[in-house]
Amino acid sequence: MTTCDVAAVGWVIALIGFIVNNRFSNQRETRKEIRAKLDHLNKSLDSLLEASRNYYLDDAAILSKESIRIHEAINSCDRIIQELSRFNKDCKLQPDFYIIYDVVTGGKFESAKHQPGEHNGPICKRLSIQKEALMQSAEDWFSAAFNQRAFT
Amino acid sequence: MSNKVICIAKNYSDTPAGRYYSDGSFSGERFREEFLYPALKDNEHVEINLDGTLGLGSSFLEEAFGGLIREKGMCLDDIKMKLEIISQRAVYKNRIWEYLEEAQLEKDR
Repeated sequence: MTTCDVAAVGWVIALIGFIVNNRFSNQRETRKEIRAKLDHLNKSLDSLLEASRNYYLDDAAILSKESIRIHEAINSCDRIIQELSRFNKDCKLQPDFYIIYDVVTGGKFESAKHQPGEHNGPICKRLSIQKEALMQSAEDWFSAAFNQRAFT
Repeated sequence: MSNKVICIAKNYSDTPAGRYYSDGSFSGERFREEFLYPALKDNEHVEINLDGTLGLGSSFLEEAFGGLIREKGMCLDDIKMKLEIISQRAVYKNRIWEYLEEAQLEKDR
């Protein structure tokens, strides 16, 4: 093997190293971006639950204000879930989210006759349970999509 | 072929809310009775644009759209041929078609 051959092999190894490193770096960045989206989804769901509790339970709540927060949080969650399913079609969070949407905004939601109070407790309990189910599905998908061991 | 375009935010309200007439001024029942059903009855194609509203509750959407089958006796196949839903938010668009399918299933039982 000539000196020239050795140098060429060295260059090829360096090039492969650069490509592999670049690929892993891109994957790490994507993972960070998706993690941020999931954290944002979690925050939006928390905001939705808090506004829902005020709307359904609190006598002193300004109902129209809470109703605006509910709509904002639903729109925000829907946007994030759409982005995640565009990124990876295996990310199927819509069914859990649609249950939350129906529980919060169904029945007599935004009726002029709405009465906050303890009788709405079951709605809030169901929302908490469903939020946990949605976030569990999201975390399961995240773990499957980004093999944790490859990046830690 | 006659077409009708209804933009809820412009032609009805940017804050539609509630299920029945008794729930408020811009309820799902009123939208169905005064806008949606007459448009579907008199036109071959009806486009409903949901964008521009603060948000739409499932109580409003279910009563407005599910009520076409439950209260007005329309059938899902006719509605599918005539109705087009425009929305940036997948949740509203997807749920409307699911409410229609659920109402048809309920009617067929």
